[in-house]
Amino acid sequence: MSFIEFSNVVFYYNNDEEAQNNRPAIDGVSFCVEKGEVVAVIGHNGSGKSTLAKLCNGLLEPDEGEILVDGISTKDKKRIFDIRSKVGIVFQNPDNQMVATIIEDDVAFGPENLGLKSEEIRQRVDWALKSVGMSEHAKGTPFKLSGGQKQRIAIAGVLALKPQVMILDESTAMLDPLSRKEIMDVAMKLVREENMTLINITHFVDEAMEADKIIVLNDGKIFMQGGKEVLTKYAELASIGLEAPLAVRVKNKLNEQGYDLPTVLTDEELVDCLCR
Amino acid sequence: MPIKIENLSFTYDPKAKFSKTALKDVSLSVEDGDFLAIVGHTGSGKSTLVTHLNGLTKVQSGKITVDEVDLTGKYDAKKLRAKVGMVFQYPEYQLFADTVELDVAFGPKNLGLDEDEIKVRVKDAIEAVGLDFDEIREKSPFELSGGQMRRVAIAGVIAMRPEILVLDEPTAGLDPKGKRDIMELVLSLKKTTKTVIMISHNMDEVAKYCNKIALLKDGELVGVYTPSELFADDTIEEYGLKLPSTVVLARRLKSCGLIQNDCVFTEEELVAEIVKGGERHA
Repeated sequence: MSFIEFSNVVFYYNNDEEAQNNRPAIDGVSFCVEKGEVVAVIGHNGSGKSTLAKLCNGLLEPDEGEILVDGISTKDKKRIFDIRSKVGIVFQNPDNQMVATIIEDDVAFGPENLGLKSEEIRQRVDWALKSVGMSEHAKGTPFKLSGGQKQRIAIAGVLALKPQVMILDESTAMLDPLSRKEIMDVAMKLVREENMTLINITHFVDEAMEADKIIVLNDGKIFMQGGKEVLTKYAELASIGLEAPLAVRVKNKLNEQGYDLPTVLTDEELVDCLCR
Repeated sequence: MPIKIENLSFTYDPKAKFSKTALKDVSLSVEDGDFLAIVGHTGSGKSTLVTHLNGLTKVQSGKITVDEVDLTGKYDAKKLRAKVGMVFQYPEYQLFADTVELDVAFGPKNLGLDEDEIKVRVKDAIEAVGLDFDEIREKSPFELSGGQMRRVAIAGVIAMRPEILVLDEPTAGLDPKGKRDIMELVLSLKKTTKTVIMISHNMDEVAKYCNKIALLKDGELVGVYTPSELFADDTIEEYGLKLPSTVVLARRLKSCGLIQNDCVFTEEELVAEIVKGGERHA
């Protein structure tokens, strides 16, 4: 059994037959996420990506179909806290995710609410801050940090809950390129060293290229899913407002001009093909 | 309407123990017709610099003149803000009115214009951002898509008919098509506003659309460059930014001898270089 299983999930924000726009935000979606996997979810604005994230840990409940997290249904109200401690979400805007005026208090907020012993909380907070490389800021205030640093604190807050799955919901959208790279490096390190499962919702194609599995959403439905080869589907991606990596786009344009290049994904592959 | 910034410095909470110097001795001029990018890592002073331009941040030390109005002295703030239109980051968060029409009309109303003039300006602005006025005017801004909301927010600034348009990360958080559409929109608006100043972390966009780039680091101006100057070496990476993806790929191709010129900022240019390189070998 997979760690997260969506089967024929339908979700409406406004489940009212009379309502004008009662198109479901998620419309018959099925997919699986295995433990330790890195999954990228891409899709245009309004395609249902964030809704999908919130369905994963029971912040939203499906109207039809079922979602199992480690075998537990997200509809099972008695076990909702089990699910939330297994699946943590880091949102887009770090400023909206800070609750305390001291960094270590902010990170401790989650574990405190789990009712853990204080030594255990101490351990988890120290570990979480170390994992994101922010130990020396423990006693400082989050409000004087840069966006990238704040987002690392938000990740630490989620880590302190020791989740098995971390969802980044466009967590790098507001950051500069260096901070964006820092966040991705921290996340990939957690996947490697802690065997964490990562679901990365993103508009950045370079981030999607680091994933094992890519899910492309369009108007609430799965448009494509698969391995990295999904990103080579130039025309399909363009048809729903997305963009293939630069190497793929250039290759396609060259083929339109009479070249006969095979499928490529990365810059290296394109250069190799052209060198031959 | 040129802008001249001379020796501008700014410190947040200058008297506090934790005072923070955001700008140090920045001198910069912007000419009519410029499409200026302001780039630099988070906290490098980009936003502090641009909020000076319409008087939201008061000049502490140094001098700024906008169209020969000295911002260090007494000036008409209302007039200045009509001239310098500011589109903040995630401007859709600032939408507030019941309908799109009322939201876009808010700025011109505050300029004290008469009803007829406001109507004309609102309609023009909504059409200028590529939306259908009759279709959208009565809608709530909150029932629109993310990209549409951003357009409406930009229309609210355009309706003031600014001569200088300042945008803080106009494409952040949008999908690839949304990003492209907004940049094309800015380019079309530039025909009337003449001068555009844009803060951006996206070097692909900066390289493609801007003619001048001001690079900031820790509140200091490192320099003002053309895209070809700035992206000719690795300088930009030392400042926490990335080279445009076209340049990264072009350099690889150049090092293999497949192309001669790696200063390419669009896919089309890159493809043309490769084709040219191929013909040379043939």
